[in-house]
Order: sequence, then C-alpha cells, then structure tokens
Amino acid sequence: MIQFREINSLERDLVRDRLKSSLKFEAFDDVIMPFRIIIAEGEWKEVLLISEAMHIVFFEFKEFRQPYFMGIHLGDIKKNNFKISLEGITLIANHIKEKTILSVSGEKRVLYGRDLSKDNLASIPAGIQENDKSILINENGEVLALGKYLFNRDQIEKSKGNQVVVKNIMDKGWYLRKGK
Amino acid sequence: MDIHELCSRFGYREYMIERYLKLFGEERIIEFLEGNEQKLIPTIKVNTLRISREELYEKLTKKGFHLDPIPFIPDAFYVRHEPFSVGASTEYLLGYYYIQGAASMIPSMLLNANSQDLVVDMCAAPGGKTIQLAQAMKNEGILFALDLSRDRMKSLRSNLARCGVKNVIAIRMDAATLGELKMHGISKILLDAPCSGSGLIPSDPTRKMSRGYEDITSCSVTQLKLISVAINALEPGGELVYSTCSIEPEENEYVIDAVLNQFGVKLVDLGLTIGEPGLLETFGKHVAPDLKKARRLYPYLHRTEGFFVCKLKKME
Repeated sequence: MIQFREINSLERDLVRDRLKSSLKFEAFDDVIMPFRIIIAEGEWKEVLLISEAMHIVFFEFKEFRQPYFMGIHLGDIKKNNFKISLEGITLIANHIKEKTILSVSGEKRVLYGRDLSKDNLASIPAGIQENDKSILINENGEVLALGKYLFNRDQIEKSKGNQVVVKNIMDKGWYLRKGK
Repeated sequence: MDIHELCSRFGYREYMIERYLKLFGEERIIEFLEGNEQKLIPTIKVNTLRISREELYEKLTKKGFHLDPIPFIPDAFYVRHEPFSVGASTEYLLGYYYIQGAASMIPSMLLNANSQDLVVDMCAAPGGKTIQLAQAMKNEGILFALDLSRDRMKSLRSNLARCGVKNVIAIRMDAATLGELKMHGISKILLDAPCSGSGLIPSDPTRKMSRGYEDITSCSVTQLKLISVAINALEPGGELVYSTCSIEPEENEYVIDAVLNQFGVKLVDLGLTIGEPGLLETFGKHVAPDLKKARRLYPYLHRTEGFFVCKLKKME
C-alpha cells in the first residue's frame, strides 16, 4: 500500500544535494520549491511535485482514496539515494549550463537505449570527468537522455571510434520500449 | 436484400447485419459496410504544452511525413505519408504529439475546460483525451483521471509524463464509485464510456465477429450507471461530455434519453461542423427530440472511427 505524505526536511535536503552534486543543478529553490513536494512511499519513495491547488484538493479526498500518481514525478529515493526521472531531467534541463550534445547518430542510438561512443558526441562539457553524469541533448537542444561518462575528456578524445564512452542511464526511447 | 449474403461477403455476425439494415436501410447499408473495409488515415494531435502546431509541422515535414490539417479539429493532422512509423519518431518520444483517432479528439474539445475548472476524466487511460484536457487547462487547475485497469494506468502515466502533463491526479478506481471521493465543485466531466466498440471496425475487423448483442446490452447498463454517477457528482451548472466509439443506439441515444428523463439535465448544441444528428427513432423506439443535438460520425461518411458524442448541462 502506497502512502502519500509531505516530504520531510531530510528527504528534501537529500534531493537538493544529489541534484547539485550529480548534475550541478543549483536552481532548486527557483524550480522545485514553488511546487508542493509529496512523497509516495511504498517499496521505495517516489518524489512528486504538485501545485498548491492540487495539494488542497488532494488533502480533501485522500482519506477516501489514495491516488495512483499525481503531478510531476521528479525521481525516486531508494536506499537513501535520489535518482532523477526522465520527467525530472526534462524539468531541470534548462537550468543546467553544461550538457552533452549528441550527433544525429548519437540521437538515434541513445533513443534505442544504447550506450555511446566518441563518434556519437557532437560536443562534450569542458571539465567532464569519469563518472560525471550529464544531460544528453540533440543538436536542436531537445532533452533525450541522461548519461554517465566512463572516461574524462582527454581519454575520450583518444578513444577508438566504437568504444563506449558514455553509458546510457535513461532515455526517452523508454516511452516506446516500456511505457506503452 | 439477402442478409446471409451480406454476412458472408463482409464477414459479420448475422445480428449485426440485421441491425445495420434497420439503421441504414437498403440504400445505405452497402456504403456503410464498404466504408468499414477501408483503413482510416492515421491522425495526430499536437501537444501544445510542448510545441506549436507550426513547429511540429516543420519538423515532421522535414523528416518526410506528409501532413494535412484536420479541418474540424484545431492543432491536429492527418498523416498522409509516413517514411517510418509516426509512433516512433524523436518528436513523438519528446511528447510533441500523440496518436489519436480524429473523432476521439472531439469530446475533450467540446468540454471547453479551463484552468479554473475542476475536471474529471472518468475513463482516462491511455490518456489522449486527458492530455487534450490538460492542454485546454494550460496545465493548471485540477484534472482527475480515473481508470480501473492497472496496466492501462501504467500507459496513462507514461503518456502523461511523455507529454509533460502536470495537473493530473490519477486514481485507480471504478469510475462508478466516483461519489465515494466526496469531491465538491466538479465543474466538468468527460465520460468516454466503455463500449462495444462497433465504431472501431475499420481498425479492428475482429469486432465484426467477436461481439454479441449481449455485449451491447451489458455495455449499455454500465454506461447508464456511469453517466448517472457523473451527473450526481457534477455541480449545478456543470457540464458533461458523453461519448462512445460505438454506433449502437442502445449505448448512445437510449442512455442519454434515460438520463434526460431521470435527471435535471439538458442537451447542449455542440456547434460541430462535422457529424450527423443523433437518431430519434430506431428499432421502433423514439427518444427525446433534443437528441438531434448529439452527433454521430461514421467511417463511410466522415472517414473517422464510428463515434457518438453529446454534451449535457446540469440545471442550476
């Protein structure tokens, strides 16, 4: 049974810290805090963002019936770690300066759920390091995926054409592969 | 006209041909049956929460899709040519549009929801109509989306997430128990009711054989129950759009006729430029003359799925 409740301060700080440390997202107060943050707690905790109006109505009826979901799914808290969702990266992407731009071949590849090689990357953030996460966009600036760098910039430049350099953590091809 | 010959030529169960002969007459039945044999042109609805109609047109045209505007629905296109599946483009994955039958785009449009409304979509999954309502509400206000099936709820969630909808509270429940939520101030309700689906034969010909008359009567009982619950939940002055993808009068005009007799509701003019008026006399049964305000769409006349839609207003 999933229970819906307000986020507590520990959980809120965890989300804020993880977004800052893993994606260099500094605009938590401007982008996230205007929403009411709700936790849907079952096997793990879903972090949901809802408007003030939804919040008022939700508390009116929640004693009669629990929602299945509501608002924006920002991500999940599992084992004291926060993992952002596809909706979450779409929401915050405009507030993150450095993103990875994929080539046309990279766009196709990532939307099939595949990892990326050097040839799939059109532009890499300047100071990228091994294990850094980065939002992956296409040449039109549209958010496609979240990836994790397996090497630093110098190593990537020296890598062979087909060697995987960015691991695909999540991508919008999911909506077709699993979300139907 | 030989019913058996029509059954064997078009592959229908006998009771259906008998009914359609009564509904369309000898002069139109062949046209109707042949219309059901033609595949419908795929149609897409622009998700204006994510992109403008013009931008989407440009993006898809560049990729080789041939699009034509649907004259009776704003921000919607016929897909005349697709170089690959229109459901597999980057633009689809980015939530710039969703795939929906042209007639199915009508009910949400007719509800005229706005950001001040408290709206309930009673049978919401997989979410095309819900997304359309969220667009009309500019992603503000409150939109309840109800559905009973766990699997369908998952696809509803995925579609709403893909399209950037953020004003939905989704509840997995039997919409017939809407009253249990004890919600006040519901100003608009969309009831795209579960139905026998006889309007979907062009895209799913198995329905010619897979449904019996008992499916029509059992759907009609469910529909009457759902619409009664909806009317009770609606605030005075509130509006309800009722639709089905069935062309059977028992699931449409008869249901509405029953609620016109039982509740303080009236039919509203739809202002649609497409469709035929509701049927006032079928199978020897007469319904309220106001049912001419309802609209019926047919594959053979309108090149859409077979559809019924009407709008009711609850008296103050």
